[in-house]
Amino acid sequence: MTVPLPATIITRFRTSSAEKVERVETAWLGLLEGRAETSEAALVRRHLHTLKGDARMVGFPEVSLLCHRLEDLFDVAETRLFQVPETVDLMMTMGMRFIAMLIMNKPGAAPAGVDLDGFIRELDSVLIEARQSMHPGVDSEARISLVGECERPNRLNGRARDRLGTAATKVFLEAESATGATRERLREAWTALSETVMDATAVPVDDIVERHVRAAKELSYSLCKEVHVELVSRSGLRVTPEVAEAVDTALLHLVRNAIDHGIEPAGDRQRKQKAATARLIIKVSEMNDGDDDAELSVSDDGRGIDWPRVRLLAVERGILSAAAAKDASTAELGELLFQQGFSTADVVTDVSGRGVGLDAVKVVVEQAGGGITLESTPDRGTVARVTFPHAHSRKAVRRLSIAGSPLPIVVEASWRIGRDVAEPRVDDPLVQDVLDALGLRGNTEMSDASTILLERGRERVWIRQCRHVGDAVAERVCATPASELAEIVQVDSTECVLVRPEHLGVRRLPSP
Amino acid sequence: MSNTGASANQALDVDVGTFSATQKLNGTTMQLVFTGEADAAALTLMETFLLGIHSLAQDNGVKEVALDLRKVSFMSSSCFTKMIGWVTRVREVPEPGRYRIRIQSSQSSLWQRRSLHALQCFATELITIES
Repeated sequence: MTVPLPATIITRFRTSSAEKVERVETAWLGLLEGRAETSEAALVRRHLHTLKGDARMVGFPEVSLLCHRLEDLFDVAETRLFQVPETVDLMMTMGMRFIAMLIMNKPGAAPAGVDLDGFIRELDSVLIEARQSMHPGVDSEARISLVGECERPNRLNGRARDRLGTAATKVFLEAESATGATRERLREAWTALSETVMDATAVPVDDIVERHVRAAKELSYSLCKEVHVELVSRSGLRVTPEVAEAVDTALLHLVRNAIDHGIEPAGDRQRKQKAATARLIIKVSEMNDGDDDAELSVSDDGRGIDWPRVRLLAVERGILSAAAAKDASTAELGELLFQQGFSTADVVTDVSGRGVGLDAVKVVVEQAGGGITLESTPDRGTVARVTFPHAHSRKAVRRLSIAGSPLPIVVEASWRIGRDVAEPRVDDPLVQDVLDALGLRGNTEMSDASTILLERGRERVWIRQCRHVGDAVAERVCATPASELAEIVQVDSTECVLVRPEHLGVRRLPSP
Repeated sequence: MSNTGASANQALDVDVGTFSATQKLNGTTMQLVFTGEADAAALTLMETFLLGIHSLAQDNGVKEVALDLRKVSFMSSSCFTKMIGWVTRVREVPEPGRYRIRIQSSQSSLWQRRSLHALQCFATELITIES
């Protein structure tokens, strides 16, 4: 997390998490000793799940990872009706103590002398042994590693991404000048590098959402709620890793809250003459207002927000006067739910998140450049909408044909093709040779090509032996920083070189 | 504070029939021996014992506590939590007053192998495991 969350949220996370750890420990012991009601199992699952999400949100990924493993261990124990080997009991108990220790530490850093990886390894060993004792022959180890991979964020800092993208582009251009086996090797290196850059710069939103659809189904099953979970659209959108984490966090909380608190138990739904099977719809779409935002919505047909209760609490806490509360719209009241500590209170709504609450979700989403709103109708359900910026994965470009170029060349569409301008002579130093600048060697002369003028604002660039052959939309496949001359993009699945003319010889017109 | 003598030290020893814990102070080293099954019956006494050990070790400038678990056939998770509590307390002692914990374990016991290595992960610089 690049910007730390407010200290009050971290403090609240610590307090609520310590309480959850204690409740889980008590429930776990009760379940093992046969003293606890079976509902305690649901409580343990819910607390672990909440703790996992909260920890991730407030910057304790190691706690989140540990919770994930303990959820797996708990599943095994539950399958065995809590008749577990002593190692399972010990690891579950120690795992909770480990969490208790980590949450008191600084976010994002295990205390000195603490070996989290070693602890996870021991936990995994116990998990594998327990699973194998239930299902001999099943490759439990493979499953655990897969889960681990899914949990690990693929993060590179911005500078590393830029360096990698620049290096990959150089490899690509070098491959174009090479021949035979060298060319093949360089092309392979380019593929590996560009895929790494792509993974680190632009995470597919659909992958994140699909994971939560699966988790939502599992959660509703474990809470004995019949819920039809639907993913309405596949967006094809990509986001930066920072935004991906925010979307992931928001989804974790919104989906959990909808299923856990919003959607009523089957009996309640029957009494309200609602369909026995509840609906949860997750939708991702690109917004149509021309900017770079996308929207994620999570809708349920549950009990909705108890607005009168929100009004009452707003008055009780001195946030609104009685008159203001009475006149407040549901949109204004919805805003209150994002105020610090409000949503964690005893508000009977489907967003009364336990733990760090909606205020923290809002902070995380806003830090990623997005926003969040709620709409709700009593007994008809709630819609939470999260807007977020998506990665600039597409660019409008102008296609240029440059004499002798082995590759198609494009420039951003912000550069216009100049007209009615007195062209400099071909041998004028102002006229730029793009192939030379890229280190590519042209092979032939283009008979109908002449010097072309590109203009953007007051900038003017003349390109030698070039003509404009149309406009297109390019997909960014290996982003480079704006300070670099070139980037490799794809137009109609063909690799092209996006040239940034501002790094060639630019003539700047004087201000009027 | 200096060594308070064998009789005062022995007052910490615990024996609940199925489980016993003894300690012996020798200069800056303390030897603890646990024997039997550490179950619910041993829980409170184990906590008291470990609290007493921690105070005694600090009072006597102990540098190492050797804990022999080789004769422990079972330890409940609740009792194990008391061990974690002890390790946590040792972690919180500022240097140079902090002492090391050397645990002698039974390699043939699966629960000891798993749980003691996991316990070591709480404080790698403080705990060593021997088997």
